[in-house]
Amino acid sequence: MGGGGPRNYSANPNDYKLLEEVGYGASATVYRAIYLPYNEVIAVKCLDLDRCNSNLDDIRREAQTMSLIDHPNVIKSFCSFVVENYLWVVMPFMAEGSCLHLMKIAYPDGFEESAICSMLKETLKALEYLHRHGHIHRDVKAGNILLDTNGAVKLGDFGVSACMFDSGDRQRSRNTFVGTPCWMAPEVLQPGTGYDFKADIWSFGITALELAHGHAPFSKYPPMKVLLMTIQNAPPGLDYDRDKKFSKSFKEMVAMCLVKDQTKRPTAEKLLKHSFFKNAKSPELSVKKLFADLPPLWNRVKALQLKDAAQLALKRMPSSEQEALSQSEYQRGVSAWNFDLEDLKLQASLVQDDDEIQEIKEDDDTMKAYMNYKEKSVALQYAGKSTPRKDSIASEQESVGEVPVAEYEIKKGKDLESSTPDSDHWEKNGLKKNASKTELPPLTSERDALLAKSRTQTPKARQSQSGPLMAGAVLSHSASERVRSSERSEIENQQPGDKAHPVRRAPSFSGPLMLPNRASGNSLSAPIKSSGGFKDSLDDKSKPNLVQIKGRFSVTSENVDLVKGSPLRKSASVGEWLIESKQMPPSQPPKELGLNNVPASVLMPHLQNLFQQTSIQQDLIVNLLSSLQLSEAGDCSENGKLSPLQRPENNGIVEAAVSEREKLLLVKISELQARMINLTDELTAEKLKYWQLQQRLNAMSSCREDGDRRELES
Amino acid sequence: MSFSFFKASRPKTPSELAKTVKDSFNALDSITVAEVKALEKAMEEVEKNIVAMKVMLAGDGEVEPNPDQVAQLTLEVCNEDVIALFIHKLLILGWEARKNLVHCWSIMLKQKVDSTYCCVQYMENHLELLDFLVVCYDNKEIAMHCGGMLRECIKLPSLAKYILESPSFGLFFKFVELPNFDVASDAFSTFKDLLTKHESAVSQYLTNNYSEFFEQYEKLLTSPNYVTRRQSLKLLSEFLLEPPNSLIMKRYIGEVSHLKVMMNLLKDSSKNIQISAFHIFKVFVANPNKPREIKLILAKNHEGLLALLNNLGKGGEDDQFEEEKELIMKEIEKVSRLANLES
Repeated sequence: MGGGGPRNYSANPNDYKLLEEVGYGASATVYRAIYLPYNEVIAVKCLDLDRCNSNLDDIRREAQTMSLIDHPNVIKSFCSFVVENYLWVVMPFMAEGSCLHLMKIAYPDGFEESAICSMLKETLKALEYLHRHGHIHRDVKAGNILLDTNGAVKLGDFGVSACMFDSGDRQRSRNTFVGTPCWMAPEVLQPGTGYDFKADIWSFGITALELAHGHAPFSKYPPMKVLLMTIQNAPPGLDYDRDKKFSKSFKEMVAMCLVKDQTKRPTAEKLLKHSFFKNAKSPELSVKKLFADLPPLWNRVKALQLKDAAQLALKRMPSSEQEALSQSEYQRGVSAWNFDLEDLKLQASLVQDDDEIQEIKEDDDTMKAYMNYKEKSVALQYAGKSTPRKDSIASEQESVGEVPVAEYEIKKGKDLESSTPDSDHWEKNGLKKNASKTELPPLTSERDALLAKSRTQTPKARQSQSGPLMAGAVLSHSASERVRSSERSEIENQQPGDKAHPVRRAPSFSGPLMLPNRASGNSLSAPIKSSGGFKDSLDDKSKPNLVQIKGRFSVTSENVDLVKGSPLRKSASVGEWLIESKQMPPSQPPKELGLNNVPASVLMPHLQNLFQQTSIQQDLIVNLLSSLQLSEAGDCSENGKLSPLQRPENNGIVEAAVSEREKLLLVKISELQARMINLTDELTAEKLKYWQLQQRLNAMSSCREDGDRRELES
Repeated sequence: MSFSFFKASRPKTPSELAKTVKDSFNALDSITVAEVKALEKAMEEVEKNIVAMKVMLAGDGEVEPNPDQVAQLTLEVCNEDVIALFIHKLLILGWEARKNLVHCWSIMLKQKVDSTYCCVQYMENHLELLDFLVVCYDNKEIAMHCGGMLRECIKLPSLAKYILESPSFGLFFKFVELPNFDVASDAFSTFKDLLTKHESAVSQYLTNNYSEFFEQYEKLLTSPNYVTRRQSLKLLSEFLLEPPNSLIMKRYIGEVSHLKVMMNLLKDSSKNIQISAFHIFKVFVANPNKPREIKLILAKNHEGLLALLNNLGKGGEDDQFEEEKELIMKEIEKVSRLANLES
C-alpha cells in the first residue's frame, strides 16, 4: 500500500540475530544482523536509552523522521522497538561502512576526485530530499556517508542519538559521532543567530574537503579552537599546493558551500546543478572499486577499534595523548546544535595556539618543576622527622583510612590549623602539607588539576580531571602548576586563613568566570551541603573538596578557601543546622512536639550562628561584587597579557580574537550578574529562616515561661 | 520531482480545486479493487490534486502562497465536507500523498477565515472524526500521520477536552505500549499533550475520573516496558505537580497504593527511573498532613529507604537534588522516630 514503503519487519527481538559489531558510539552500537523471517542481512542500532538523560522526545522525533523518509540516498529505519532499556533501530545494512572508516583504513589522504564527486552527488541528492521535506540533517560528514558493496551511497545516522547532545548531562553523554565542531557552520557556532538548511550546505562543503584530504580542515585542533577558527578565519578551501590535482570546478563548488554568509550559499537543489556534478560517474563505477581489496567491514571495524584502544593506552605519548584528548574533547562535544555556553567558556580557557609547542614547553616546565619540587619535599621530610607531631599526623592518616583521600587532605589541613597554634609548628605543618602531596599524589591531583586547568589551561589537565586520574600525569601537572604559581600556592598553603585572598585572587585567573551559574549559586552559598552523603563530623570538612571533585568547575577552589577562611561558616552552615536540628528536637515547632523542656540556651548558639552566616553571606555578596569589577579588569589585563604569554608562534589570531573576547566577556558579565541574583535570593532565604527561628525561639521561651510559671504555681 | 506538467495547465481557483479534490476522492469509491488500472489512475488523480492543494497552501518553495487563496480554499474544503474525506481516505493513499495531506491539514486547521477558524468549527461539529483519528493509532501504516493531525487538533482546548472525555481516550493506555517504538512514542506524545496542554480541562477530567484514570495509569508505571515506565513516570510528575491539579495531587499522595508504586520505582534498575521516582516520592514524604498509613509505611521501611536514598543519584546530580534528598531523608528519620514513639 504505502508506495515505496518497506517490507514489514517485526518488533520482536527474537526475529533478529545480531552478528558482528560494525559501528560504535558513546551510547549506541551498530550490529550487522540477520532478520530471520526473510533471512536478510540488516543493521541494528542498539541505543542505550538509560544513558540519555534528557526526555525521550528527541529520540522519538528522530525515530519518526527516520521511518517517514524514503529516498534511495537516505538511510531509513525499517522499524524500531524497545528491548529492555535499549532502543533497537532496524536499518539497511551498508556493507562497506562509512567514508570515514574507509579513509581511516585505506585512504588516509583522501580519495581521488571522481570518487569524491560521486559520493558528494549522492549525498547532495539526499540533502535535497531532506530539505524539501523540512528536515535539517545537522550532522553531514564523511562518518555519516555510508557505502554499500554495490557502490550505493546513503546519508545515514540521523542521530537517533541526537539526544546525546541535547540537555541533561551534556558533558558526559555527547557522542563522538554527533555534531562535532569541525563540520559546523559559523552561524551554528554563534549562539543567538538562527540557522537553517544552509547549515547543512556548509557541512557538506567541509565534508568535501574531508574526502579530499582525509580529514576535516581543523580536525587537529581542540574544539574551542575550531570554533574560533571557523568564526574568525577565512573559510577553508581547496587552495593548497597539494590540491593541484583537483579540478577547478571542484574547488569552485567547495568555495560556494563554504561562504560564511548563509544566505549566499546555494540550496542543495541549486548545488546539484553545479558543473562539478554534471559529469559525475555513477557510484557503481567510481565508488565500488574503492573497496576492492579490503577485508569485510566487521574486521575493519575491529582493526580500527584495536588501533584506537592502543592509542588510548599510550596516553603518555604526547601525540597520541593529544589525539585521545581531542577525542575526549569531542565527546564532551562543543555541539553547537545545542549550544552550551558554560561548556564553551570552559573550553575557551583551553584554547592554545599551537598545541605541539605548548606540549614541549609544558614538558619542560614539568621537568623543572619536578626537580624543584623534589628538593623541596626532601627538605620537608627532614623537617618532618624532627617533629614528633609528624607521627601523630601519620597515625591520624591511618585512622581515617576509609575516608577518600581527597577529603582527607582537607581534614588534615584543618586539623593542622586547629591543633598547631604554635607558629613554629605551624610553619612545619604547612610544609608538611606539601610533603603530604608528594606522598599522596592522587589527592593533590584533584585540586591541582583544577588549578592547573584554570591557570595553565592545558587540555591535559582537563583530561586528567575528567578521566581516571593517572598519578604520573597528574603529578606533573601539580608540579608544573606549582612552578608557575609557586608564589601563590605558597601563600595558599601557609595562610589558608586569609579570607580576603581568594576573592582577590579569583579574578586574577578568571576563576569565577568559568564557574557556571548553577554551580556558583550552590557552591558559594552552600558549600557545606553534603553531596556525597557523608554524615559524620568530617562532613563539613570534606565538603569543600567534594565540591571540587564534583565540580568540573575550576573556581571551586575559591570556595575551599572561603570555607577554610571562615571558621564560622563551618558551623553555621545550613546543612549543619539541619543535622543538629535533627539531633536536637527543640528546634522543631513546639506545637508538634511540645518539647518545652529544652532550654532556650541550646537554641541561642544556632541562632547566633545563623545570624553570623547571614552576615557572612552578605560579605560574600559584597566580595562578589568587587570581584565582579575586578574580574572585568582582570580579564582585560589578561587579554593584554595573552599575546606575549602565548608563544610567538601563534598564528596572528589574537587580533581577531579581541572582538570575540569582548563577546565572551559580555556573556561572562551577565553570568556574574545572574549569580549575584542567585546569591541575593539565597540571602533572603537565609534571612527568612533566621526570622522563623527567632519566631520559634520566642514561642519556645514563652512556653518555657509558661512552664516555669506552672512549676512555680505547683 | 517537478510538477511542471501541472503548472502548465491553467491554475484552478480555490473552489474549483476543492471540488476537484472531492470528486477525485469520491471517484475512488466507485472503482472496485479488481479494476487495477482504473484504480491506479484514480489514485494518481487524487495525489495530483493533493499536491495542487499543497502548492496553493504552502507555495512551492519559490512562490509564496496567496493568503486569499489559502483562506478561500480552507473555507471551500470545510463547506464541501472534504475534511471528512481527508481523514477517512488517508489509509488508502500512498506514502508521499499522506505526508502532503497531513501538511495541508495542519495549515488549514490554523487558518482563520473571517474571524473564525472554520476547520476547527468543522471538527467541533464532527467530533466523531477525532475518535476516528485516535483509533487510527492501531494501524501502523497511518498511525503517525493521524497522530500528527490529532496533535494539531488538541492544541485547541475544545477538541482536547472532547478527547479527554471521550471513551477513546482510554485507548491511549494501550497505544502507548504498542511494540513499535515510533508509533508508541507518537501516541505517548499525544497522550502527554492531552494531559498537559490545557490545565483546567485536565484538572476537571482528573477530578471526575480520578479512580479509573489512576488505576489505568498505575499499569503504565508498572509496565515491563522500560520506555513506558520511564515516560509515564516523567509525565506523572509533569501534570500531577502542576498547581491547578493540587487537589488531585493531595489526594494522590495520601494513598498508600501510590506510595508503594513509587517505592518500587525507586528500586528500578534504571538510574533515570529512580531519579524520576524520587521526584514524586519526595512529595509523599514532604506532605505535611501525611495519613497514618503513609507514615507507617515510611517508618517500617525507613532503613531501606534511607539506604536507597543515600545511594541515589551518586554523581552527576545537582546540588538541589542533594538538598532535597537530605531533607527527605531527615523527614523519614523523623517519621520513623515518631512512629516508634507512638507504638
